[in-house]
Amino acid sequence: MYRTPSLSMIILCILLGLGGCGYNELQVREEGVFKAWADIEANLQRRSDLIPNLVATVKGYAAHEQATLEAVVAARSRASSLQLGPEELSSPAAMEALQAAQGGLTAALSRLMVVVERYPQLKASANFLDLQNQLEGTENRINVARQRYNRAVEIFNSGLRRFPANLTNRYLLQLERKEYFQATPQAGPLPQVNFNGA
Amino acid sequence: MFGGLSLAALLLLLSWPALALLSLPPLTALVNDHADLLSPEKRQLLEQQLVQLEAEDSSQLLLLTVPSLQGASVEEYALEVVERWQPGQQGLNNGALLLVAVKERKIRIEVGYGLEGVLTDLVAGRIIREIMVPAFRDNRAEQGVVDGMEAMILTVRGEFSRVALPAKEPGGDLFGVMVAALAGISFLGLIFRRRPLLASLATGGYGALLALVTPLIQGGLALAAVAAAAALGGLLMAVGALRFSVGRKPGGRRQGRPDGPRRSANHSVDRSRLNGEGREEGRAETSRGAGRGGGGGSGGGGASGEW
Repeated sequence: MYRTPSLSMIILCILLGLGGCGYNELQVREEGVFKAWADIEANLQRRSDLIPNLVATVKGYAAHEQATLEAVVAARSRASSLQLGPEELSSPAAMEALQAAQGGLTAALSRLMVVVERYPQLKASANFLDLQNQLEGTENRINVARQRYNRAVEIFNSGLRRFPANLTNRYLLQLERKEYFQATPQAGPLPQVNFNGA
Repeated sequence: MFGGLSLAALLLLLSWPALALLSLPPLTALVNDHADLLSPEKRQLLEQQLVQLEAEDSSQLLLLTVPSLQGASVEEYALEVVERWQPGQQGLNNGALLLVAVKERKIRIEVGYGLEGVLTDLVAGRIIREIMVPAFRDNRAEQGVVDGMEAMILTVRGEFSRVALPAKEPGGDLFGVMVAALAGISFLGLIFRRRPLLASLATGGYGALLALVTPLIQGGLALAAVAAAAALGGLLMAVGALRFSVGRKPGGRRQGRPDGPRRSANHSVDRSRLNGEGREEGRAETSRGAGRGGGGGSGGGGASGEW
C-alpha cells in the first residue's frame, strides 16, 4: 500500500520528462521565427510600394537626375523580385541574396536623398516631405522588425542546440537553424555629393 | 568555487546593461513631464483631456518629456518606453506616445498597431513638422507640446469606443482552469484518501481559491457553488481511491492517472510564456495603475522630428 505513491511519482516524473523534451517548444519557436519574418517582408513591401510615388515626385523637380532615379527603379525591381519562403530562411545563400538586393535598394535610395539636397524647392514641397516621412517611418519599421526577427532566430537556434531538444530535433523534428537578417552595412560605394555639377 | 561565483557575477553584470539599457522615469500619469516643459495648470489640463479620451474612446495617449535620451536614438528610446509602459488597451494596442527630448532637440510620435490606421506615419510627421517644430523653434515649447497633443487627440478620437473593448479574459482560459481544477481535486483526493472528510474540506478550499483567482467566476453564489462542487469531487475521489487501493494492492495505475492532466497544464503555461502572452497578461494585471493599459504592441510606426 505504501509502494503505490512512489510508483505514481515515478510515472509523474517520466511524464514530466517527456513534456520537457522540447518537441513543442521547438515548433512554437520556429513559428515565432516565421511570424517575425512575415513582418519583415511586409515592411520591405511597404517600402517598395512607396518608391514609385517618390520617384514621380522627385522627377517633377529634378528631371536632370535621370541616372539616380533609374538606379532606384532598377534596384527596386531587383529587390521585389526576390522573396524568401519559410523553408529558405535556413539557406545562407538565399538570405545573402536577399540582403544584397535590399541593401542595393537602401543604397540607391540614400544616393537619391543626397541628390535631393541640391533642390531646395523639392525639399520644401509638402508632398516630398510627406513621402520622406513615410520612407523614414518604413525604414524604422524594417529596423524594428529586423531586430525582432533576429531575436526570434537567436531563441530558436540556441533552443536547437540545448540538450534534450537537440536529440528531439535530431530524431524527430529535423528542423534547420535559421539565418539572421543583418543590417545593411552601406552596400555599395558611399554616395558622393557633387558640388560643381548641376 | 569562489572563482566560478565571481565569474558568474561578472557575467551577470556584463549582461545586465543589455537587458535594461535605459533607466526610464517611472510612469505616474498619462502626462509625464520630466523635462518641466509644462506649467502645472497646463499639465493638469492635458492630463484631464487624455483621461477623458481614454474614458470615452479607450484609446490611450501618453506624453513623456525627458531632459536627455541617455545616448539612445529617439526611435530606440520611444520603442523601449512603449514596450515597458504598454499604452493602449490589451488586445487593441490603441496607444501612442509623444516623446520630447530636450537636450537632443528631438520629437517622436510612436504609434501602436491599433492606431496606425488613423495616426499614420504621414499624419504623425505632419503634426511634428507643421505644429510642433515651429513652436519649439520659437521657444514656445509648452505651446508646441499642448498643440501637438491636441492634434493627436483630434486625430485619434472616434477610432475606438469603449463598447468595442474585447472581453478581458479570452475563453481559452476556461480550459486551463478546468484542467487545474481536475488535477488539483484528483491530487488532493489521493493524498487524503484515508480521510475522506478532510479530502472534501481540502478540495473545497482549493476550489474556492481557484474561483477567487479566476476572473471568469464572479459573485459569492458562484464561488460557493464551485467550492461545493470541488468538495464533493474531492470526497468522491478520496472514497474511490481508498476503495481502489484497499481492494487491489498493486494499484499503481490508477494513481498514475492524474499525472496526465497535470502535465498538460504545465505545458500550456510554458507555451503561453514562450509567446510572451502570459508574461504580458501578468504584468498588465498586477500593474494596472496609472496609464498602463496592457497594450503597447508597436512595430515602430510613427514619425520623428527635430527642432
